[in-house]
Amino acid sequence: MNHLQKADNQPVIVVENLTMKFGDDIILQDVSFEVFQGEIFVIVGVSGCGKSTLLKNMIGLYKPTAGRIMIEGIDITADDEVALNRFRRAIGVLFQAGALIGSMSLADNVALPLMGRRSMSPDTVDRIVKMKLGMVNLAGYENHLPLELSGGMKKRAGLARAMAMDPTILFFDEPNTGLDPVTSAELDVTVKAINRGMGTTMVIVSHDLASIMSVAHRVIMLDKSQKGIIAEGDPLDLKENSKDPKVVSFFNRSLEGLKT
Amino acid sequence: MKDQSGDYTLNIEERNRLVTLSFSGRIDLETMESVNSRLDAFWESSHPAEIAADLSGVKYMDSAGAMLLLQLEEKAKDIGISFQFLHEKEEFKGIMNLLDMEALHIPPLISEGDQKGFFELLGEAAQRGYDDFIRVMTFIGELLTAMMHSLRHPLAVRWAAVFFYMKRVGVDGLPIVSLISLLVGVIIAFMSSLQLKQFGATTYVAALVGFAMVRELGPLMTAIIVAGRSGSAFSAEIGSMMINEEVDALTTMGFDPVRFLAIPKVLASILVVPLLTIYSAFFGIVGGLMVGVLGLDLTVHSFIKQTMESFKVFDVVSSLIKAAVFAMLISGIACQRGFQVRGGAEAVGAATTSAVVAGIFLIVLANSAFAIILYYIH
Repeated sequence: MNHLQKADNQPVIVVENLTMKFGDDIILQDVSFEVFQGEIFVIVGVSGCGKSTLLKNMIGLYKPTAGRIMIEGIDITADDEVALNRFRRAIGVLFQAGALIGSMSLADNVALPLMGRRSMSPDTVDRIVKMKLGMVNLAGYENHLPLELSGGMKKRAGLARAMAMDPTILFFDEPNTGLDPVTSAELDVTVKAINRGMGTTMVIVSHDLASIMSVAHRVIMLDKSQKGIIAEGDPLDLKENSKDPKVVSFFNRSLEGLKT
Repeated sequence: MKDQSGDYTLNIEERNRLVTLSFSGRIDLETMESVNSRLDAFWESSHPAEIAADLSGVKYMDSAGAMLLLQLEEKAKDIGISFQFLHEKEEFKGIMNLLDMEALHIPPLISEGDQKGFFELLGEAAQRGYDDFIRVMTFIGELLTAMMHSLRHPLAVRWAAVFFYMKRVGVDGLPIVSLISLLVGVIIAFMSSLQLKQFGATTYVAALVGFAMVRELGPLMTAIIVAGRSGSAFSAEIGSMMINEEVDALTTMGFDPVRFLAIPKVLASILVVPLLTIYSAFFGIVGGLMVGVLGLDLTVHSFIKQTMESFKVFDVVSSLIKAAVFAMLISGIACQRGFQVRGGAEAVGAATTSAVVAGIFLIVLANSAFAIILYYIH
């Protein structure tokens, strides 16, 4: 248990008995966990274990087959459009490749969440865009098109857009995939700084070991055959003390633990 | 002076040119606009020597609110007024430290597109036209080389793909080609009968429909439909492959993209569009027949006889050659537009539009050339 799981710290995300099926394929079965305010919570596991499916459930893109997901007290599995819109305003999502709109400049991309939701003077929007781009070290790039940027810059721009509304929870889908070690480390530093500075709760899906070790306060590990969580806790503790061969091989990047 | 707006309050107290701005409530994205205009009014009416911003009452601050306060500090310091925050909570400091105020003053690395003069725009358009012409010519060269290669090595052609596109262009296109041709036949017969009736020459409706459908409208209507249906599909398909680096992958595996992707589409079109043209002419004549028999009291026998006499073998052959040439132009330009795609989803859309527009333009251009050439041959 880390410092954020104190008794007085209420969980901001509660997943209860989540089951997700595609047709007859069961991807996740009876998954339950909680994420606390201000925590960097990482969902790990090998490819195909259902990490991304779980994330898509948590951001409301998929509706679970059974179970409930409460985020900031809102049941996002209930068919309540008003509540869902409130939920969508409270979160930000960084997709794997940034998901920037190719025909819009970075400024327009970052301003997208602001445009749809409130009336603001163009000058205010402009200042907020500049500030957000500055927070991810992209100051000056507002007139660039996404195709003029490298992969790492696209992700940082995607992060600026996800933060446009100062969400209380940020979700990341494999943020470090496709980045070189230096860029990847820079992104980790940015993520930690935002978490510390703004107290934003972060839920990250990742299989990048270096990044997991660097940012995670707590991890859960999913497994394909168990269709659910096989380990939960501090990443360093899992790496050094776990008895589960799958957990050991994942955190030590070896096939040793899987040998029978 | 006190202002209450939404979820915040701002108290402004002035004593011996020391101004205390007491903020309370929420200083965030929601209240930012209102706080800002209050502060603007304050700067206009007041000329303090010292400012203190008291944040003791602030319950919530986000990055937008933090930026606002930092800008207030910046402005005060710029004009030489001493400034300090009072009762600043740790969490607010955290947010303020995260903000890079320099970023607000960094000019854009590239400008938003300068205003260009008329002659500059004209020159650019001309240059684009010239570049496009060169690209099309280069592609035609590549396509002809690849076609010659396919003729010499027929086994190297991906025939499975050729049959696939023959089905796509031909079989799948048949219903719409038939329907439109039938209606065109009906329209020609009906409109011409209105004129011919005045001279008692309605029997010539059959000849008119037959001649028009076989010589001109059959090939032309078919080609325009194929340009819209299949030309757009070809360029969108190749364009998406360009974006996903699939074409680059083919090149590194040693395939010639033109031979691999364009030749099956072009060959399939050349083989199948003449067949569609025959169908088109046939259904056009059927449309004319319907009007002739139902509306003009002509017999089926006389209509068919008139029709058969209206065109010669030369007309049929020349129309099939025309159809094959149209097919090559449509599929060729569609593939070329696809290969030209750079960038993102928007570029695919532009290429698809351009493929259809350029395809139809080339059809009409080639049709004019055929009209002149066939006149002299005949």
